[in-house]
Amino acid sequence: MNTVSICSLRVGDGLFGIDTRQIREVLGTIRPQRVPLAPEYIAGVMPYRGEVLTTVCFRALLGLKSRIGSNCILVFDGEQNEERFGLIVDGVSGVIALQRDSLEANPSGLDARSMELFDGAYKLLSGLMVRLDPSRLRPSRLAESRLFGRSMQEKQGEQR
Amino acid sequence: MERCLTELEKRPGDSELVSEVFRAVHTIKGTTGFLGYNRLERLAHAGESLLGALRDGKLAVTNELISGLLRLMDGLHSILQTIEKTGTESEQATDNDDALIAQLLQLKDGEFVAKEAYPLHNPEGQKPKPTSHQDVTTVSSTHDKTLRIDVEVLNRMMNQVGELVLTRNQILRSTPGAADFPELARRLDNVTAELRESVMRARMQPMGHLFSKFPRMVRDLAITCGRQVRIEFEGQETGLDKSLLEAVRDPLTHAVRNAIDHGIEPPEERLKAGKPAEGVVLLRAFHKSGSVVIEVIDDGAGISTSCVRTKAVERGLLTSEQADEMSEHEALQMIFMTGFSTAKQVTNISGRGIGMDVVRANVEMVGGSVELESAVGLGTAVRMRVPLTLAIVPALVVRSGGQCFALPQSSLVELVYVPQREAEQAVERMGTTQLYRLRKGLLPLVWLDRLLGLEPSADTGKADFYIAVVESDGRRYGLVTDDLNAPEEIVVKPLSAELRDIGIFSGATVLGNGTLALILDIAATGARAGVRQVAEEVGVVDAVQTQAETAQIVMESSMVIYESGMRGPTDGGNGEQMAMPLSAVERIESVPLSEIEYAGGRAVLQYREELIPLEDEGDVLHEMRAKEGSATATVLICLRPKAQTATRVAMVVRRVLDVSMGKLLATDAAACEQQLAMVNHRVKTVHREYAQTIASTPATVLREVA
Repeated sequence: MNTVSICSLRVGDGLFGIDTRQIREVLGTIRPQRVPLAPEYIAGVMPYRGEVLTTVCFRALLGLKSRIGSNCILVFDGEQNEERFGLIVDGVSGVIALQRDSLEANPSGLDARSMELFDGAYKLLSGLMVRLDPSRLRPSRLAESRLFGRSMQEKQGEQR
Repeated sequence: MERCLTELEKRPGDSELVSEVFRAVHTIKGTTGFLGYNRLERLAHAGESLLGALRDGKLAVTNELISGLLRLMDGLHSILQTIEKTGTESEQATDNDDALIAQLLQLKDGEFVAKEAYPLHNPEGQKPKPTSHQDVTTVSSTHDKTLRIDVEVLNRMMNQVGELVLTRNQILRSTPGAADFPELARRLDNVTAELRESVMRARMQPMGHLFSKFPRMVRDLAITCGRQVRIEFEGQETGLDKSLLEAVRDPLTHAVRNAIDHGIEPPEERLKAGKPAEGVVLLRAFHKSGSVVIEVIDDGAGISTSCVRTKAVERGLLTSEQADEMSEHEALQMIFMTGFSTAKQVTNISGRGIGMDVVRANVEMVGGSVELESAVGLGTAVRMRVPLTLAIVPALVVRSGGQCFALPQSSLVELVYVPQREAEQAVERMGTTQLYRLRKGLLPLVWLDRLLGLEPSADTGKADFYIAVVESDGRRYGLVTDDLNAPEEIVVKPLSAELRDIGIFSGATVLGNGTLALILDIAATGARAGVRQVAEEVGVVDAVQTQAETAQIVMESSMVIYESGMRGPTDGGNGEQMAMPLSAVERIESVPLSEIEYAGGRAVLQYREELIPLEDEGDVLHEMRAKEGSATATVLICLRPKAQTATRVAMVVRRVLDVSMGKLLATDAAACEQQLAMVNHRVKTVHREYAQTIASTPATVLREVA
């Protein structure tokens, strides 16, 4: 099997793709409950199958302003000890089959933030589709890397 | 069996206990022989013959004997574990119990010889090897995963589930507009509540299950550390959720270990300090306002706060200024910081600096809290507070900054509504702190929306608001919110680790309308807002009876000054002024004379559905009846100090004059009949029955003053 099925996503003007096998569920527009003092990239929490799901806002990770309007939430399952989490994107376009060898690794000129988030890119005829690896977008991992949005409490500390 | 053995050590003459242990070992031997476990049978046989000798009175119960029997038990236990794991008795062919069996035999024969030759001495080579630390802590893992449930309870649960299914079917067929819909919804509500109740009940386990492990552990530890320790229990029947019971097991073990290793002094030191050689560790469990409190109280040396401060500075956890500023209570809580230990030397049992911080982490993981109280020379108390169940808590939902938050009812004290017209005057400022005058005290205010960095919904002073007076972990403050929703029973869901790290949310819950609300951790919220801990008014140390000299301490306490019925020689027509400790007075009541009734010639009063006797010194009642116009008598409702259970007595007084701080004067030998107190530079006589109330609670009183 030389093809992989990729779910393509839109965030801002960018096109992104995630391997469909890694996605548990795609939910329609839900506005998660904001958590005060949480880091900016945490969009909030929402009820999901009797659990509280923490969601990550992909726009915030890319440094884009959050927007009002429809969105999609992708739910990823936890690996080993990790918890489930959701990723908020602007929309899901569809599923496409791509050749494995059209994947190119991250170029060396990428900035540190992008290096952390992206996992190579597929060369499509219409342009590049950036591949995402859900395990890199895990809230715990984002918190460790400390590259993304300071939490509100640190900001408050500065103000004082 | 473990319990029996440790009991046996305390009461060596009890033949009942011996027979009980004997029967247990005998049963093991019988069944294992039947099942073909030869190794187990051999060991059990050796034990049985030793116990047989004991039962027939050929042996006397000694420390060594008990140690031997406990080792036998460990041996049996480890074989059983092996069987559980591998299905066979031994993992290796070389595994055998010859050494242990030989030891047991030797114990039997050796004791025989000893009994004939030197009844009081043990033969050489029979020195007990203290059981190693590792042995004590091995806990069988499979035990924790199973739970015994009464079939009765299970049947009831099944019935309720059946009911639930039926109701669901009816609801599915019905429509929200239908006439019977409200009825169905109500039934669903009932069934859910009942089902929840039975599941909870099934999960409840008495604390005694957990406590039963301790006598053995304490005994072994005491031998290892060279202390004499007695363990006592209270509240074994207190129920606690199974999962919570497991969660507090380790912290509790740790706390007990600490109490023995660091708390209780060696016997010589204790005797020097005027205490009995045997130390007491009290394990106490009880329900309190929706949570279970578990206390480990020892009557050991206590923790010196100055020592804690120096240690903390040494370890670089604090600057010396910070250390000086801390209150006693805060300094004590330093013990819970990571890498902190006041132990002078590291021992095998505890004192490696990983200790109390682990206790706290474990307890907090299940939503509990840990506090520590200590008085030098009197002892230490570790108090763990854990919620009754993990799953469901009553809470009040409040709105602030356009979001909902849940406050656990357990930390809610009262609610205050500040209407719009008073909003501006209600809040007073002192420096940067905002305060509210609640009755006589000042309450620090915390604006929830500002603290959380939310958009304030309206300018303060322009709109009405609510103050939720909350208290947790010694912090008491008013949480200002925009609105209150109805109280709800919320189902607590854990948050992911990153959100837990924010520190002030203990979980989240789904509300009735389907939205999520975050649950506020009251103590952490207060700490973040900078509300300081106020030392708790009630000391625990007095719970352990200490024989320490207390009379020499000069104490101050609040006293009620009243005019008694007795006429003093100097006061002319007025009654003598007397003092009564405020702690003994429950209420001051004004009672119409008509309500005072007589039974068998004695005056009694009906007070809160209770009949309490009236004490009327100097016949004030009679006097008042004679005088026209005075229709009410002033009565002090007091708790009788000596009685075990709280019995009340009402004391008739002419009038209550004042409540103020007074100092109890040292008992004078000449005037030992009367206890005198100095109140506002005037000497008052303390009511004789209640003088002891002050004397017996020195720690409490001193702390109040400090």
